[in-house]
Amino acid sequence: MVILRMIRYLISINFKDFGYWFWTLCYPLLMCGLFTMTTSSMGGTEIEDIEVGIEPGHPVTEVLGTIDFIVLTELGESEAVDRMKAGEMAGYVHGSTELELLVTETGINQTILQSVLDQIRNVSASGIPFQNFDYDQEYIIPNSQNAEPETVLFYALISMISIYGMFSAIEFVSTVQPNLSLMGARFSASPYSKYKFLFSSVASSLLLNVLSNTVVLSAIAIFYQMSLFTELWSTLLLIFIANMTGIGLGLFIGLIPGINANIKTTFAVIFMITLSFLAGLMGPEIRTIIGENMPWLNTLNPLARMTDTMYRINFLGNYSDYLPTIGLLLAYALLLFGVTLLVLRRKQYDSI
Amino acid sequence: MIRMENVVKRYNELIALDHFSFAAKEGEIIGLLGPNGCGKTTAINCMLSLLTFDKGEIEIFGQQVHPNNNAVKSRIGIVPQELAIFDKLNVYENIDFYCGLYVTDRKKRKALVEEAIEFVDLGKYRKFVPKKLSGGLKRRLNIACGIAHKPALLFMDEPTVAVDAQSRNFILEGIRKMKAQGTTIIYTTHYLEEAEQLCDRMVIMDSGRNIASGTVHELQNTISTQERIEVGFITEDQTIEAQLEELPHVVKVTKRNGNYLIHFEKQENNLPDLIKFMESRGMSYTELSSERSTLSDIFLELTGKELRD
Ligand SMILES: Nc1ncnc2c1ncn2[C@@H]1O[C@H](COP(=O)(O)OP(=O)(O)O)[C@@H](O)[C@H]1O
Ligand SMILES: [Mg+2]
Repeated sequence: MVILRMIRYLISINFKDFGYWFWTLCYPLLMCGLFTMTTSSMGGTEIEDIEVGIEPGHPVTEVLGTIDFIVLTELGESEAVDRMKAGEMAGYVHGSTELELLVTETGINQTILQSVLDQIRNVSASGIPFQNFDYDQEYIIPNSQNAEPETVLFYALISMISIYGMFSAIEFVSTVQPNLSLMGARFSASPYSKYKFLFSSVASSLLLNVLSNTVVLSAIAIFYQMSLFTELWSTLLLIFIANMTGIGLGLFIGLIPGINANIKTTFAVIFMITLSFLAGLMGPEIRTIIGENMPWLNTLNPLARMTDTMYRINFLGNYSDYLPTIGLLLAYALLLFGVTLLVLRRKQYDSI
Repeated sequence: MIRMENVVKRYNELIALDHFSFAAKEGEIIGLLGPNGCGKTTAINCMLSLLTFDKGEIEIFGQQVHPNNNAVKSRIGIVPQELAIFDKLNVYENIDFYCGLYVTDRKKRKALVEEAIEFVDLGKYRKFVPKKLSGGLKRRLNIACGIAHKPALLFMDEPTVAVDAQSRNFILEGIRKMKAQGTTIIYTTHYLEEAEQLCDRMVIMDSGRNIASGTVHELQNTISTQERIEVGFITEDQTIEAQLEELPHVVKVTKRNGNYLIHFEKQENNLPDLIKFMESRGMSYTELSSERSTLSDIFLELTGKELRD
């Protein structure tokens, strides 16, 4: 009961804060509006199955068969051309020594298909037999992103708002520290446990942010008519874990001594925008550049990982990256919670 | 109830408490007096075990203070020097929030919060957020947040700073009422008159040291400039000042509002001696009044510094 009451108060403190409403709801919705206005056709962004014809017995049959969005049919060339002309098939793969793609028109599906084949060619040129490499793993992503760059913007935006819990966490953790806020002296002089307070802060930040995330995601689905999530539950789990990471980050930033909460919030905004920018919020090109020059940054940037993973699972049905990303986000969260617990254990100060 | 023994607290090179000792008995109002920066707040924070200290011992309720001693903590209330209230919560919620850190039973807490609201007379403002309250009312709210759980020992750090006269009297009256209910109160201020009216005993602090303590009477007895007599004469005469200085036991003669202020050493018969002296010299006076030394005088003598509000 004591904890529930604390949670209720913390939530009500946040609800009365204009910043909460603006940054967690208005701002992301505005961004969405901006994205949809600047991009042409956002109708259905998910890759629909691509019908592909292939020469019977072709060596890449098996490899192409493992790709989720490619539906293979073995047939002869002339039959394939007929079906392509009828619009029932995107392309025809043939050529026993050279891998060739036959198309009768150009379009997004053909571009995707072409890039898939390019990848296979590159890999086979490097000497790895087609059968031996995990196709889903690495090869599709950059090119198909070029095919639908706008989608990445949305995933980057969703990644960003899922760590918004850090702002309330910054506020809350300052409140309980006598060296950081005036209320802190009252807290520390009272018999109320800091751990209960920490638990209440995490719970209320989580509730608040999950609530605002839900509103934003519903709004994206309803107002902008976008179906970004084909893998709804896995994506929601990812967002939930990222919420924990965000709160952990907020607690950590909130604990930094000697800086007031406003400066910390400003710092957190800059930090978050930077991560989002690097994750592709301002356009996917930056991702490609980092991927080429500093791949470790994409690996460690939680927002880049999340953006990537959401794209892969929803757009490509590729789960190879899912667990590692969840693991990374959880690891960040646990590490940050651990540090917070250690620091909060402290009860006396040399100077307040 | 409180015993603080030779406590030394340093902030880097600065010594904020220099072998500071003092004791408070149950049910009394103790004033910690001294100019800004003399270490009053630091002393309180040490007693609350928020601050570490370098040397010395502090006991409250007969137990060594320790941040994990919740039994002691739950019987203490604090009213910090600065406002420590939530901008986003209204008057009732603020008091309820802080009271809830001590009292978990909902019914009991509700009654206590109502009582505290009544105590600081904020009934009309219970739904107001702090932004809409005047400075004095905010101070009252700050007090209510510290007293709602009915602590046996209350620390009040300069509760009347920047408060209008009406709120100040109201606060002082409230403190007397709490004392009447048996609360022990540690009260800091740099307003000496206020302390003189309110406190049972006083500790005069300067540069982190306890330089004198006791009741006003006891303090008056510790210093040598004991008595001042103000005299007004009918005729202005250049020689008056010099004549007065011939009197035995006079320390100095100063002027105040056109009258003469004669500072005497500690002695029984200063007033009769002065009257006899003036009669013998044929000096006719219009008014004559004797005053005991005030806390400001005591402070001035002990520290060599003026303490002004
Ligand atoms: N956190 C701190 N760091 C360094 N010096 C401090 C700190 N807090 C107080 N001081 C210094 O310690 C002395 C005592 O301060 P304080 O206890 O606040 O005095 P008071 O409450 O009597 O005005 C002052 O000289 C003040 O400048
Ligand atoms: Mg002070």
